[in-house]
Amino acid sequence: MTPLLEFDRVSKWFRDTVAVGDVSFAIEPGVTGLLGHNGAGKSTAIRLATGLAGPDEGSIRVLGLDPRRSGTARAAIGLVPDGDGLWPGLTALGLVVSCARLRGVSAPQEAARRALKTVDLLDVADRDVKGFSQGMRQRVKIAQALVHDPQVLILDEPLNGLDPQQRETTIALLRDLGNQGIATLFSSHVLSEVERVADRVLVLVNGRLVAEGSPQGLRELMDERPRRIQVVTTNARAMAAGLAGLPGVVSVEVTDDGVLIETRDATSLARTLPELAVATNAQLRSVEPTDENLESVYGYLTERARGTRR
Amino acid sequence: MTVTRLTVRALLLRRRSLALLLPVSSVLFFVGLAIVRGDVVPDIQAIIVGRLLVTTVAPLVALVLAVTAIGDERESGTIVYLATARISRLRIAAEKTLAAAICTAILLSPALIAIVILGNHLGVGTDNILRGLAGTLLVATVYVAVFVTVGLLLRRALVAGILYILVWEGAIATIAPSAERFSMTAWGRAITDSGIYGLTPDLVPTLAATTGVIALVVATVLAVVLAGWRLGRMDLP
Repeated sequence: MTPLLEFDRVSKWFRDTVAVGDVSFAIEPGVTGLLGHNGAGKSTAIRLATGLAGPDEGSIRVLGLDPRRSGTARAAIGLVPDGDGLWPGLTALGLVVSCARLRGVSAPQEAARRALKTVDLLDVADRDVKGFSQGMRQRVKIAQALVHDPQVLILDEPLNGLDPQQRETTIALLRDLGNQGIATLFSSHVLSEVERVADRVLVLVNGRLVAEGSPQGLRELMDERPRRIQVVTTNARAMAAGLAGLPGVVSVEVTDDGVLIETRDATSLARTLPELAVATNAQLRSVEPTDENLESVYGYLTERARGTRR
Repeated sequence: MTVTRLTVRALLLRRRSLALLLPVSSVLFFVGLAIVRGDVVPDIQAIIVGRLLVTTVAPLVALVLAVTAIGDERESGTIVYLATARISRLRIAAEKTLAAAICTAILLSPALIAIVILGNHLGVGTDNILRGLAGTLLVATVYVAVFVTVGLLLRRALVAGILYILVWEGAIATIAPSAERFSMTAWGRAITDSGIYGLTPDLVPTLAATTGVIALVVATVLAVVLAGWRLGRMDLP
């Protein structure tokens, strides 16, 4: 069966910078999260998928067709761009109707009303979008992307700038759309958001696809990685001596105010530390992981992908 | 025609578009002056229509609107809604050109009305009044088409366009007869001025009106095709 959206060894450069490097994946019905930090190549990948940009190498197919050349391929895609721009002087209904016409929908008014109902904006359909909040504008953008019943829905950072309630509403909407069988690809730099919505995750680091799979699998992968933990204590040398050789501990380093530990078994370390502190007559002032941010997770995945990690 | 409708609305809602009425008002001023002074020489028609409106005012208005027609959409990001639609990039370019040409005609309309009044005052005849209107609109359209294309090729299309209008069209092509063959406004003047009798030799166009019409239509079509080709190959934000 032809994949709805397929990248085959796609690369894109901007002068000397690799924006997307040798990326291959296929999207099927359900929600796929495109995870990566800012500048990882997510937006470029989305521009390539929608035909807004062309690859320097490799090929992109939507329903087996090139989205840059084929109107049929573009008609199968609904795009929610990252930018906030909407045409001026239009009501929500007028804007979505215009998009329906651009995509050749035969009954644009009805289709636009249906799409606005899906995003819960039908009550304000006749209001000028100029007065809308950011969350409402985001929903208008989703409505215009749904108006022609696309088979593939692509959203670039759809949760950016939304307040917690708007975020919850959008997450629920994305889940619904995925459950309806629309192949939904959305980008984010927040792992917890992706975990909540996606059936599958693609991780981009510096333009390269370094991991893909279920959110659970990705989480397990991340849990397996060695953690760096900074312990602030009054008797660092004795603590360090006690820690060396414990199961799971990869390295121990004495720092100015304590010990920096790298371990593969953070749970076991958490149990052992208080016992060790008592045994060495040391006070534990703080125990903090130093690499819990997403950057370090990406860094780990990158090193792992390159085969340079222990 | 959704792209045309959206673009016309966006262009006319821009406050900056109203600033273009300033150069347009210069035509009203000189027409008013000619009527008040009681000038009745046919040269006045050729100077105000051919040299002021066709050579400077219409190109300036067309240039700004043409560059804005796609430039604003690229800047605001709304161009992605057009570029990801089913329609071809050539059609987007053609509709953008049409929209900017319609807006140019709307903003030039006070000047167009003024040259009808001037023609009646000078008694140049309905034929020449209609030639004045047609020539102005054709020149405005070719300028729109060319500068939509230039806007897709150059970052500083507005600066390049102003330099082109002032240096090439406004100076070289009006002085050197050999340059007229490559001047869009000279093609326009061939339409607006070639039927006026009694012009001083310097103001008589060297090209025939038919040549002017053909050249303007061909240049417009070529520019639209080039814009569609360019839009189809460029990466959008």
